[in-house]
Amino acid sequence: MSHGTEIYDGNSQVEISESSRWLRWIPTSMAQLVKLESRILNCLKSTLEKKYVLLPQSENRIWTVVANKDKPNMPLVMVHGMGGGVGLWAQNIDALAVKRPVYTFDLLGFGRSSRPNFGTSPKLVEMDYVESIEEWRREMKIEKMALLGHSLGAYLVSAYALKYPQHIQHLFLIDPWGFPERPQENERSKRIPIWARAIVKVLSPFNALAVVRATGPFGPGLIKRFRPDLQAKFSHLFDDDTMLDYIYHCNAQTPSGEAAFKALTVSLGWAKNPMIQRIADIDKDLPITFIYGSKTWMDRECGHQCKYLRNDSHVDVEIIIGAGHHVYADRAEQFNKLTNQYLDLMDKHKDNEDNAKSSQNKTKNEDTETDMEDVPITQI
Amino acid sequence: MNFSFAGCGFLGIYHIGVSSCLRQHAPHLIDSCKFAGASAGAIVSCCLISGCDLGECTKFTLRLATKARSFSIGPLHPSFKITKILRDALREVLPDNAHEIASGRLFISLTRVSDRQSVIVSEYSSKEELIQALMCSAHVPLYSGLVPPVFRGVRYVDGGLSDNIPILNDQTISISPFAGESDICPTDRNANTLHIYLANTSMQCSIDNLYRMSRALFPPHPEILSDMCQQGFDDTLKYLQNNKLLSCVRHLSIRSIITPIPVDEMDSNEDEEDNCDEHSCYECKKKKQIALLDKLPTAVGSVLQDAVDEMNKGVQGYIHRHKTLKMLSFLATPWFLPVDISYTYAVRFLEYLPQLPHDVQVMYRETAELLRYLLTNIRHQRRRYTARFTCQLAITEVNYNQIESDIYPMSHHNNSANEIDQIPQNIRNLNFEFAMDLDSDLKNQRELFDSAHHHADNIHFLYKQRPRSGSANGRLSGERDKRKQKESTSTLYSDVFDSIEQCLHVTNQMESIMAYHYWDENNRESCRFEEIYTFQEGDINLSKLFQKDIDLQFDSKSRHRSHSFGHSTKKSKCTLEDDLEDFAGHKLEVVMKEKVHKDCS
Repeated sequence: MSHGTEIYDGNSQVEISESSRWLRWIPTSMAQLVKLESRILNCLKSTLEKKYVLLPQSENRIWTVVANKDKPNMPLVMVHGMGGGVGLWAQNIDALAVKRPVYTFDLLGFGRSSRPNFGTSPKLVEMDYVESIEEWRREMKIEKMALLGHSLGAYLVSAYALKYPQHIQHLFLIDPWGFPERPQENERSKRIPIWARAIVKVLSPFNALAVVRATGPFGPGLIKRFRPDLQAKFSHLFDDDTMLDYIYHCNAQTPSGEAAFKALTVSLGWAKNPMIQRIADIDKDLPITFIYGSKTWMDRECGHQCKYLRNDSHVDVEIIIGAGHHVYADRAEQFNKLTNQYLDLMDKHKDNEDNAKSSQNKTKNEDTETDMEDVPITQI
Repeated sequence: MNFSFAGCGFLGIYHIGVSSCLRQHAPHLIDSCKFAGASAGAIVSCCLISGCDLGECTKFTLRLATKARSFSIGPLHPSFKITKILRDALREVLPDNAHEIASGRLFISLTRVSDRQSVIVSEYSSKEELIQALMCSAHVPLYSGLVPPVFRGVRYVDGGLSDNIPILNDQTISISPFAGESDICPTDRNANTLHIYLANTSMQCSIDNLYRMSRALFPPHPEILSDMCQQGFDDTLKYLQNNKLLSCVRHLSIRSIITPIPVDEMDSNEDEEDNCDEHSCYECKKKKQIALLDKLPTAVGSVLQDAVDEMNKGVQGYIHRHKTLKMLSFLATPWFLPVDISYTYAVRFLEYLPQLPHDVQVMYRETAELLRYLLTNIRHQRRRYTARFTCQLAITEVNYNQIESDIYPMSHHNNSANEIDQIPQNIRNLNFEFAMDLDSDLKNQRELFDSAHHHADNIHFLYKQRPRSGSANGRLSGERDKRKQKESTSTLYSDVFDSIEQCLHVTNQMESIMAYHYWDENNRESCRFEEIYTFQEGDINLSKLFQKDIDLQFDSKSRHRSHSFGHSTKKSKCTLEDDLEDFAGHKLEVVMKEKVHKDCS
């Protein structure tokens, strides 16, 4: 363990938050979240290392779960989406960690990580997140990684890739949020009556999941009522409401991550600084893979657009049939298989690069021919 | 592969768009797939598989929408009888063998009224039954009517309330007019990450969906409906193209020759084989190109256009176009509406009159059932009640040796009254009256009663053991009626009989806290005893029957001509269990009757 990386005893943490308030409107506590998360992670077969990572500059703590830390291949880092946590990767960690270490962490403001106050400026929020990931990477001593992000996570890892491409070997964007530009008001949306607009106007100052918190003791029921699909996605791990409760406790606490998300958005979910405008600026040597679900409401066109915008680098768009926005949970097996294929290719490519480099060095001395061929990363 | 159509009221016109696309570009799917649906989705899919003219369906939907809009308060106006209109339309449009086509292929989602669970039906014995199932599935409570319709003797309402998109298996293609995670659904240009599930239907939290939901029961302008129809067509086309389900004539024929296996498997085979084939197939290419630019089929399209024109042409359209007139009609509504509504209701009532007696009967029966249900429920929830058991103890003493002959027939209460009359010559008669107030909130009532039974058995045993004395002294002939009473009640009393014995036993040993006696006014010969004892737990075997400090009141009196002193009434409070409520209830009834009977006599 390096300095600055501390393992916090989960229990001592728990007591503090437990004793702070005994009477509360929102029936949540860090202790419950800890319990649910450990129940979820107990389903995993890989060897797990769970710890808080203290970021030296911002003094925030990031809750980190590492699977199979000692595997030799290039590590994979996974970043969850809006309102999620490490528990959502329950069906993916084992399969992806067969050959390599898999790092997952709760983004700042979500799950068990610190919940700092982000500003309201989208630029600053984005920068805060990018820097937190970079600090975390330094603390974890990861030199190069495959970076995978889902939804909001995909937006953030793309922002990270803009600034620190040198640490990324391959970028996976799973049903990314925040890519398309906000369209002009068209004929059809003008037809929408005033009352509907009024409702939207009234609701817009609130955070996305405010209603879940405001309803207090009814919040868990609300999630069960309106998101039964979340449980269905994980039905072969849990029969009961574990997953729904986990989601509830992730989001019932201080909504700092949601506030940050809100700062990034304008009018119902459009990004203030759409990533599509900047995607071309990402280092062109960095291969990007988009994975969409066939049923998602996210604009899949963006993937193809990126392919066009980055025509001199590798961009692949994959669509998993039958999956919705939560691709990795809806069709976990296909998703894992697909991702592993890309990761294997990435490893091969990396080996070839290394070999090519070393053989180049050798050719200077021994004048041998390199018979290594770059495996095109697009062919699967 | 299956198709599942979401229930969506007037937005069902989206499904018509979908259906017309399926019929035009993937007819092989319609013949080989199963269809499921709720509400409007079920109706449209029924029309689709039974080969109805989709143009007619569109026309009907638009007419219905226009009609609904023509009333001042829209479809809520009482003279807009949507159920009747729908039923008539279905009768007309569906072929006579619709139920044969639909059985096993059309799965209709219903919501059972009694427990609000989702029920899916797929077998129909007649066309009328199929229509009835469709009507049940489309019955929006309050909106379509107050009384839910009946299908096979059970009341159902809108399937959309419990399961709006019935998923039959993994390969179900869900079709919904709401933007969300369905296979075929409109895509709003919207990036909102919030998304909910309502009765199984995935819905994005977007302003468009909000608008659509508001329009599901209150139809929008035909023009908007026509847009939705078009959208359904386009979305389906997109889906078919993305999933390589478009068929061309040539490939279709090849397929049907090659494979008797189900379509879904076939598709995967064919993907591999056909990849090269498809490129060379001119028809496929052409079809795809046409499909790219294709619009709604003319049958549907022209109907839509007509309806829009109609709407804009008439007086209604004129009023709707001009704001001042619209405002005026709006202001006039409060004046005309009451008259209008009362007139409609009067007409409706007259139409309804012949069915009134039958409905009243049904209502009465259901109310009675409900009341009974409530009563039993209340009784179950109320964990305490009181009951009174009474028992009489009368001892007529003449000769000690002959006491058994009196008790003996009592224990054999099944003997006929005559038999008893023949053995009445006892010298010493014993008569009990035993009253017990039961006030329950203990948990071991069953145990209590069991133990009571057990003790009662013991008593019988005891009686039998006693030597039978066949003495026939006719002295106590007046005892007859008393004994009859005893006989009728002994069945009941035997349950708690032992308690009396216990009481007697205890009272002999204990000192009463209060005791008095007096001579009966009516009968100078008899004397009344009143004694009150306090029981402590553990004093007697059955002490667990009684709460602490229960007062037992002994009222021993004799009304008999013979010189006697027996006849005691004991009242005690006892705790009983809720498990035995029914049992105790019975007892209570009998006891009360007995008491009344005794009071009378």
